Amino acid sequence: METTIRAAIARSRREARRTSGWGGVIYILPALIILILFEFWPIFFNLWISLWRWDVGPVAFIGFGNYQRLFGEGFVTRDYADRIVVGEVLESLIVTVYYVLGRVPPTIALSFVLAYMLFQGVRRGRAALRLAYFLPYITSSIAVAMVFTWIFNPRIGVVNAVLEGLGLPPQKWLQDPIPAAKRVLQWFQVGGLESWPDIAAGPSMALVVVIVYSIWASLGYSIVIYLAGLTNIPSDLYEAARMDGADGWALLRLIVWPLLKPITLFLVIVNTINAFQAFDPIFALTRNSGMGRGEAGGPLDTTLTMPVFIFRNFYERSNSVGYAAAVAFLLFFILLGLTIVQFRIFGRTSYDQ
Amino acid sequence: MSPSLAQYNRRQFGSALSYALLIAGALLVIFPFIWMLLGSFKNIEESNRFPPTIWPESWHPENYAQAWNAPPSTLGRYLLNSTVIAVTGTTLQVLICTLAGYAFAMLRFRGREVLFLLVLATTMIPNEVTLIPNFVTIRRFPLLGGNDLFGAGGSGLYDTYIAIVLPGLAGAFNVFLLRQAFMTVPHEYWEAAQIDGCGSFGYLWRVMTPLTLPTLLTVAVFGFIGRWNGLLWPLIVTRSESLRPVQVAMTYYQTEFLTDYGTLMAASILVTLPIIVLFLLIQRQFISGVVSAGLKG
Repeated sequence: METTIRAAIARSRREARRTSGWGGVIYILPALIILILFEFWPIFFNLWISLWRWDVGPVAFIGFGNYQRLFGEGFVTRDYADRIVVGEVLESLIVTVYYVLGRVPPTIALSFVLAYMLFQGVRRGRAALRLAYFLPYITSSIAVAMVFTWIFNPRIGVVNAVLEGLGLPPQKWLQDPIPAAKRVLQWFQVGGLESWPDIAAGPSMALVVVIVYSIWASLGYSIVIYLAGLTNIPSDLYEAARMDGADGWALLRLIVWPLLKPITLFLVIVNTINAFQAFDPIFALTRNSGMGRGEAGGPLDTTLTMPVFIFRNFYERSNSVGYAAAVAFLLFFILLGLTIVQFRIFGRTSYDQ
Repeated sequence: MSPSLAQYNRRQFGSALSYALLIAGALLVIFPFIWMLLGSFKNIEESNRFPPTIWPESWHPENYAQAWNAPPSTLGRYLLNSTVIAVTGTTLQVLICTLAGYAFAMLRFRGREVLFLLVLATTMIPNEVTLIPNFVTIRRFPLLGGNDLFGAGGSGLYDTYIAIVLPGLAGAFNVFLLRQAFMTVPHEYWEAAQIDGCGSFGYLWRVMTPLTLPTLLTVAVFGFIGRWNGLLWPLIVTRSESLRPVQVAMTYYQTEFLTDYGTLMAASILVTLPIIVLFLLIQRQFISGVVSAGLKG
């Protein structure tokens, strides 16, 4: 008797689980199919493609040939005069790092300062100011990038007009492959960097303009997130600190900054990943500044970040698709490693607090 | 203890300084838009003058007509394409993500936790890795566009609206956001709805969606803006001008009107305006959506 009841209960439970089981799976099925087909499968498919030579000639299986090329001549190669020079992949990697380092820390610092000023110093008009800073984030696109190419035009751009008004030498901006640091030192007529190879002397002038555009376009997002974090800090914490005689600077250092650390971690990770993957800003700004071919990444490949490198090999020249897939894989592992490292570093310090 | 006069003065001064810096910064940030608007009325001679004029000497609204009628298709056609892509893509995405988010939040089924982790893991996969394989998948899609079962022979889904829209329809982050929103709805509602004879789909449709409207709206607006501004994927999977979106079309403008900045700026304004209008209509909603997405994520 007892066992039959127990068996019946067990059966009904099994049945319940099974029926609701199918119900649940049906709900997620559309999303699941798309994610498997266009997110998971591509990882393996990309690996497969990267094992083929796929260019103008017949497609051929070459095993790890693309990876040999990537880590071989892609990293170190010889130029026309048989000197040992940086390969195209390593060069692209260095350009990417310049781009990320040029973009992320200023975005974080600027957005923190602006958000703090908006929060502390402004009562009226905060919404309007926030709106102004947020607008580029939603409109950033190739259409908006076009006005930047006009503003930074070497011949007729308004930036050069301002520089001239200030008595500073006009610049070639997006058409200048020379490192910005060398240019600045030239203004002040101090030497020191001339002997350095260009790739080692920091981002080119063109890349600096791309960085400025990217900061402009992504600043609003970080401001809005910081502003929300500031609003979430309980106001009695400020009051208590004020009572203890803390001035603005101490308040910032001892209360605001530590409490916003998780948000800073989040913003650093999001901005870094976005910067590593950025394509649109570079494509939109550098497409027409190349040597007539209309290829993105110029001048002289000094704005050729890894996503643009992949695009060039895959689409613009479509001469080495398998090779582009191999480079995409390298980028994937760099991003994965970077995310883990960032979590480690920031995770630990924020738990210590 | 009231603050001393010196302290008070210092704070006032600090506030004035903040205002000045913030307004100067905001003007700098807005400047490209102002330059775009003023520039869109300048003729080719004036827009190429150095030093540049700020206010147009003579106004040329015909720039807009020229931008609108520019080859190879009219801008109206591209705007229509973008609208079709953004509206259908966003609608389907919201639908698909709502169903998935709801199942992960409310329904019990085998493998739920594992599947959810799987969905979240896709946010770690960069676009560059999926770009080439997805292109091949679209091109070799079996049994469509003249392809045989093995994806050979034709062009698959290449050069169709479906190719532009399909890969982005799921969006793991949106599933996550919607799941979080659904989980905030008290469980008592579900019990009450069951007593009234409401099934799990009826509950989602009649109770859950009205209660989580702000999140749904956030997902929708994010999706719309992302698709409107999307460039790389539509550029790669299309060839016909008749279905390319505006952002891709802008690359022709760039080549076509090389130095005619007036017309270029007019085109930019026409392309950007829909997004700005949409944003102004729902900005409060949207910013709070960005915040909750960011802080929970």
